[in-house]
Amino acid sequence: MACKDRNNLPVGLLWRRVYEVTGGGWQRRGAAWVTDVYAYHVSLACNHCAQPICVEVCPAGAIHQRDDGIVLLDSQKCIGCRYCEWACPYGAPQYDKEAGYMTKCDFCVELIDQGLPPACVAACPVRALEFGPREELEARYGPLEPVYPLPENDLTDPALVLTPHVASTQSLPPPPPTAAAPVQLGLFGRTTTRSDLETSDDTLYRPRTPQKAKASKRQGQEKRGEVANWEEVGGE
Amino acid sequence: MKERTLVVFTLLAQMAVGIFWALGAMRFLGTDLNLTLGFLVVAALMVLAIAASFLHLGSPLLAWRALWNPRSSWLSREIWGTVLFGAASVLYAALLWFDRGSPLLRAIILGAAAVLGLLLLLSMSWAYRLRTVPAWNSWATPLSFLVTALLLGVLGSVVLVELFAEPSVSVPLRRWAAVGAIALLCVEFLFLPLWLVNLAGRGGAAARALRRVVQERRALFQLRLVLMIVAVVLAGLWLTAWVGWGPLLWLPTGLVVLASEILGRILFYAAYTREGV
Repeated sequence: MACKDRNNLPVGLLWRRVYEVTGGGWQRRGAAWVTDVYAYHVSLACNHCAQPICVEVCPAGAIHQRDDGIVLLDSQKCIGCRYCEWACPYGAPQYDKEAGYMTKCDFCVELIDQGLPPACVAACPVRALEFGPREELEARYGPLEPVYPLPENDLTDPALVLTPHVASTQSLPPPPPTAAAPVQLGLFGRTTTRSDLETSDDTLYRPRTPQKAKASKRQGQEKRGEVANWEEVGGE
Repeated sequence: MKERTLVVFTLLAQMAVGIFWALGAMRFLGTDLNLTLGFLVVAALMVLAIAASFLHLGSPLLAWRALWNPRSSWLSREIWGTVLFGAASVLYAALLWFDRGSPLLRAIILGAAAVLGLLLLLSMSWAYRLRTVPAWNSWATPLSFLVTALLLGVLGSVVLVELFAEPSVSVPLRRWAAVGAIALLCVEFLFLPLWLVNLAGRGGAAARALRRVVQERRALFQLRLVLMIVAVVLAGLWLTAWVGWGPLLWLPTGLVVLASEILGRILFYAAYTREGV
């Protein structure tokens, strides 16, 4: 809302969008069926990429990158071909149908030049958004590890870091019973333990060693990508 | 569909390049056919293509700015190619129509326009080879654009010559055109499944593109395949049929191929799915 207010955006244009990613369903665990539903949000605007594909492809030279990395679009030069909209993997350039040209997040460059934070950062009530030199943010939070539905970094090298929501990186929630506690499954009184479950083909929860955790992180996201849905929430 | 003007633009431009190449080859081989009207049609096709390209712009009055960034933008290079090939084809048709220019000058302009047509096809292909759009970012894009240009060029030129040229097309030329059309359709038959298999193997946005083509637009996809088969049968019939059928069969063959290529281009744009959100 702060972004729309600050930039006086018409209905339909959302320079900063919040995507709600949901997924999961019923999974069989032995003779039982349990849920593994999850949900998390990804707040996204233009990432002012180090290799901005919008700048590269714009035939009119309407998009340029400042020395400090901020990518700006000059609407007066835009011909409205929407090619940048096709190319950007973050959906940052957005078409203003009434005006006939593209628009995009300018990182509230006037505020930044005055030493003030962008409107979205200033307005976030839970301080979930920060801004600053990329090196500082990466030193504090580590390099970006894209979570679903973000694309791979090497496409445009986005100037973005984020702390992934636990639901976006943990491929499955932890098992409810303890290892020592036997679990009663089925109707015929057969008793099994967690180790039985972990080696069974229809096991839902598999423990991950620390070494495997990182390798399986992306795999887990891809697995989720097959079942996950995402949609924009709020904003207008 | 938002891209309908781009379907018109790309097909008209590719058809114009293909017909120009085919007519140019006839001229180069020293045919005695009068090809002036054929070259005029090429010029008209390019004018129509450029007009269609304006229709998808939000600010058409600023269209000239599309020439601004050939340094990094393949789309800008495509527009340069369109303008330069369009100008060369109009100039060549005008020289023929008004009977001006020496044979050497005409030959130079013919050759230059043919090269510009190739550059237009290449830049048009690479404009779609966006690294964020896996369905387009493959060898299939330039190959399909080239085959479309050649196919529409071979059939379009024969139709034009049959309709306008005096004397009529020679039998060997017709046969070579029929063989060429069948060969090009076979190439399309070959690379279409290869492209789809390639999409299936890449997952993510590529797999979504595959679903959009073969599932969500199944009827169009099947119709496209049927039309390709019908076109091969028609061209094959002409090869084996009585010579007198030629003028009767070329027009339906050309129309079937054109319809098939229109469907193919619609499916091409339907395959647009980009990486990310």
